[in-house]
Amino acid sequence: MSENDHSIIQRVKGGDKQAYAVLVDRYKDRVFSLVLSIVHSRETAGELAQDTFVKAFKSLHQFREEASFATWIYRIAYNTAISETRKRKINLVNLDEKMAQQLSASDDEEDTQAEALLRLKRAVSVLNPEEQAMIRLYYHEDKSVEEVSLCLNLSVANVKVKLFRLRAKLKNMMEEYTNSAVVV
Amino acid sequence: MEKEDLKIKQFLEQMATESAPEEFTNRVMEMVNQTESLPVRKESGDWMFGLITALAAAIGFLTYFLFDPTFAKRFFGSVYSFMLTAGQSTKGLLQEALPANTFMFSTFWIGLVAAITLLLVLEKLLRRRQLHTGLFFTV
Repeated sequence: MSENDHSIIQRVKGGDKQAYAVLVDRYKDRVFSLVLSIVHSRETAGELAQDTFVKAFKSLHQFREEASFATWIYRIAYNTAISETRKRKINLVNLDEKMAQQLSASDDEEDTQAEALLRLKRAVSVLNPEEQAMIRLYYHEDKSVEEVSLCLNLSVANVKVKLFRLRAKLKNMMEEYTNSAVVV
Repeated sequence: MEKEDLKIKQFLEQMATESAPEEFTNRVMEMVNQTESLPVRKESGDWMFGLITALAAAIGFLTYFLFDPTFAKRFFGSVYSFMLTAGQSTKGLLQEALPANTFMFSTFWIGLVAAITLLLVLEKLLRRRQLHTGLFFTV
């Protein structure tokens, strides 16, 4: 059975730096995905995800475990990504490089599905960073409304309102995606 | 999660979680190893200091309150005069904005509303600040 976050954190706080690698391994993909959904560049997302884990390590002694480590690290990742987008003025509607490569490499039979999926990714990438983070946290990570509110520094009521609007947008996207996948 | 959300979740699963770059953990650990060890947190020191300060302030306030008969009058007098000042300025603004004959609130009530509003705003700000420093920290 894998060691839980709490005991790893206690070990790190006790001076066992190497134990932190377990936490990094456990959350690296999720943190990377969250940051990537905001900055749309794998290279930048890699750097920022790295910064996130280093910042978290440096501040681990301040972490009181009133929320889960996952919630805490997502919040650091979100803040890091948002401040970087402001600093670098990153274009938030960049086409996902990996998807573009996949599309150009796919053969004719796979085109329909790949093109429709690319359109979907494009449509989702137009959403603002907060909405991207909500999708990642609420739909992919199954975080509760309360946890999302902590990660994004919003009130619970505000998250509920924003989720309501996001749901409507996503429903439209789903309809368009389904139609285009059938038509193409 | 609502039924509608489950549909959306299934739909979004097509956009799988991305994998972090290779050697990611090693690079993070290299940077971690270069940083100094974590400072040991003074577990009880933080709240103990706050508690002692609050107690000292409370004792000081009570001593003044009980042993100086004019203190209570002066203290509440200053709150009342603050409310009056706030009320008068608000009244002045309202009188400029509204025709004189439509204005019917007394200075005291306007002051009271202004003071309560101010307290509510302060409470909101403090609660937000507490959330920042209590659960997390500002990165």
